[in-house]
Amino acid sequence: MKLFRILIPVLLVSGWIMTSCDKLDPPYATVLTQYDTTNKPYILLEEYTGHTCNNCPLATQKALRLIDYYRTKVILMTVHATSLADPNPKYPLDLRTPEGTLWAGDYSISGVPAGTINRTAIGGSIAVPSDKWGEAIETQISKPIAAMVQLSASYSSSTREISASVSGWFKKKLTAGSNICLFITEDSIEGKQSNKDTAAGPTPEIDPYYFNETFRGSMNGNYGSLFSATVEVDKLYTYTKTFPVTNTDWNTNRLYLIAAILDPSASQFGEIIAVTKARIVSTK
Amino acid sequence: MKKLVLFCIGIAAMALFPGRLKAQDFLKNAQVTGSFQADAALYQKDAAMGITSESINGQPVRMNGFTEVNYEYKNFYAGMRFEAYLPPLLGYDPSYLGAGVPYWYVKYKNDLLEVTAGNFYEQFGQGMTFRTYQEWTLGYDNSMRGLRVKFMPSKGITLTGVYGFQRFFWTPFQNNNRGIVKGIDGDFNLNDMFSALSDSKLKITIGGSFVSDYQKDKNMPYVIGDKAYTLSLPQNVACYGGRLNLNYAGLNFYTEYAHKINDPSKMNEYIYKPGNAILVDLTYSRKNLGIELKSKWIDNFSYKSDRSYSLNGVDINYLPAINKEHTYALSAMYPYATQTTGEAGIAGSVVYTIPKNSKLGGKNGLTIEVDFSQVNSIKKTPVNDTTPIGQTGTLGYAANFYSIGNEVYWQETQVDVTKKIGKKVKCIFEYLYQTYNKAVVQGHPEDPIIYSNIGIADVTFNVNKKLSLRWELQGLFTKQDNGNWAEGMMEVTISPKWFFSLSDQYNYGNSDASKQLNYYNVAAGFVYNTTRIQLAYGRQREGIICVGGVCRYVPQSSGFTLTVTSSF
Repeated sequence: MKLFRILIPVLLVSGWIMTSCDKLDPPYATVLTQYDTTNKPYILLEEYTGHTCNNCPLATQKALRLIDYYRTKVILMTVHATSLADPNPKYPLDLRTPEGTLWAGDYSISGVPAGTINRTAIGGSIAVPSDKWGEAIETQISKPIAAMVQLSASYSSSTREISASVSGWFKKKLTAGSNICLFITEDSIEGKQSNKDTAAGPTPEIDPYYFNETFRGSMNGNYGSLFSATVEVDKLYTYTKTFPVTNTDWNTNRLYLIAAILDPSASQFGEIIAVTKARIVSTK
Repeated sequence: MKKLVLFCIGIAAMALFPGRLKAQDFLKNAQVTGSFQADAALYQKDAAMGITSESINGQPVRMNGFTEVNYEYKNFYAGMRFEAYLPPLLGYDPSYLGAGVPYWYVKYKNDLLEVTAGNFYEQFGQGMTFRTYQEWTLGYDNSMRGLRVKFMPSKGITLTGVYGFQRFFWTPFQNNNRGIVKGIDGDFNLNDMFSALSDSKLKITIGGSFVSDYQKDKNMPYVIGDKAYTLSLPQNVACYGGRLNLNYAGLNFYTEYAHKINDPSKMNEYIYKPGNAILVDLTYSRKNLGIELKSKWIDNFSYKSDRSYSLNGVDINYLPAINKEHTYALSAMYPYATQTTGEAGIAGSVVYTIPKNSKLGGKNGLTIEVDFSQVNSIKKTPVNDTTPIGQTGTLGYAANFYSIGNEVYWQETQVDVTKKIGKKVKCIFEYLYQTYNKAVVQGHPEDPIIYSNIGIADVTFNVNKKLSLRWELQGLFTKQDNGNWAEGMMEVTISPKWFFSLSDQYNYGNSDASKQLNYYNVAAGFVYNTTRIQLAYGRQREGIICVGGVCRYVPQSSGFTLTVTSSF
């Protein structure tokens, strides 16, 4: 009886063990071929970073490789936030923004590098670690196109104003309307970056380091402004906005504008359903 | 309130086990126990420390709290824990923000069987294949939610099966966002199992476990170097191990070995090498003498139920620390954190009490303790001529069993002397020499290895049965990191209700004069039965705290803290 009592669970467990062990053989990694972008939506990857974050350069490289793979269907914006973006005597550059700090809190960005993919929750969390960016982008890019957006932007050196003109149309009806967000980014900002991965550059510091796609500020509020109170399918909506450039640290020859349509009803802070990017053309 | 809790639990128990309970019994004859703790803080700006309202994130008032209630009636047990982090104290993961009941269970137990539904904490052996636990001071909780069955078919045999998913802050389990963990463990006490061994002085216990984590493979692009790849990921990652415990008179020998199959994860940069870990612990004790020798060797042995998560959380197993844990502020300044990617360590400890009324021992005896521990890297070699060590998407590296690398992660020599003088005075003197590889342990490659000498004196004077005074004087001397520190503390206890303390840590050796700060703290506490209330005001220096080799970052802060604990 004693033997019988032991034997039954042992047999059951042995059967389960046989199916609970996936031992793999090489090759473990296969090179991906170029992505077919036909009828795929654009995706916004917001990378949260900081200049004293020694894991961040590698994460940025991962983001750039994903952009290569998805053939520019992924638009990158780096947001400098959390304590690792704080300036200090060794790293004096301050790339933090009030909006970035607010977003980091709202999206529970507890550590960098982290990212948001269209500001959509993946597995219950909007903040996505860099190893899950590929998975999160794949999930979002596999969805049907919900909206499309076009953008033109210019900077007048005489008035020191950025002017943006946006048009958008929708493939699905949004009863709660939509918001439009206009994010200014800057390329090639020279600074220093802590680094621990030789694959990403010299360690323990990359100097000089050029910060690209750096979020500088929003033209129209923390979460954009109303694009349209109601959204009908296949109807064109337009929006224009001007923004005075008061920060003299910005190099206006290296500015870009990202326009993102936000579905505010999708979650607490809204989800991005369309995005595009354009250079801010300097004019007199 | 108590009746309401009893009523709710009773209803749940009756629903789960119909026909076994009578309504009036679960109110009248049940036993309810519980505990409560609230840790609140009012943070303030501190210009000298560089603390601004921004670094407090505009939320100066914060609170971590929980209430746990456990119910017991005959063979039935149930319980729950409510937690609130509104918002979490600084240094705790912000993902805890919120409140709710992350832990609840109902349990039925008799001589043959124990069944738990809901959340549970469990450990196989020392935990190298499976351990779920909660550590409030770390803000760590990896409890399982699911089913646990313990089966005791015969005296000396315990078979345990677990099945469920792990807690991850407040994130619900959905769409395979983390793994499903299944495990089985057998524990066999041979002296109880076989009558021929029942009277033997040699006590033998053996055990074995098998754990598997199912995490759905997703066809996702990974970036390795300058190309995007897709990785073949194992959906079922198995880990198994065995253990042996021999006890003879005052001698105890324990060893545990565990093996894990390919488990590419963020923790190991997605390499496919199987993992190995072994722990050996030999202890000897007799009157006035205790000796312990320990060794561990860990090779690629992080085991999490979310392969992409690299911070504290969702650990399926636990790798025991062999170095001593410190309670004094300066000896605990540079604590060692277990390196799951690979480490080889040894530790030894001798405690000897010179007997009372001897020449050296005096009237009350004298206790001397000497400890040593060292942890090095393991020796890793490339798998071939073209693949660098640790290359993602490959085996990663090769390592011979019990190989030891040259890089020192941690070393400590410690001597303690404890002496009671008369009936009223007790003295503890400690000397430590620590070597701390901050670059590896804390992940800051630019930091040098820290060598520190630490001296501690702790004197307690019991003035009378009610009043006792305690002084601490500590010094840490190092040329690296923040330089020298001194600490002084005085504590007054008026039994049984009141205690007061005043302390200061002074970083007088900091090479940056603006950082030569005093980290003062004044605290007062009140104890009433099982309730303890403590209010403190002062500064907290930046650092990390570790419990059992698992660590949490503690940012610097300044302000008031209030702690209330109670149990019933």
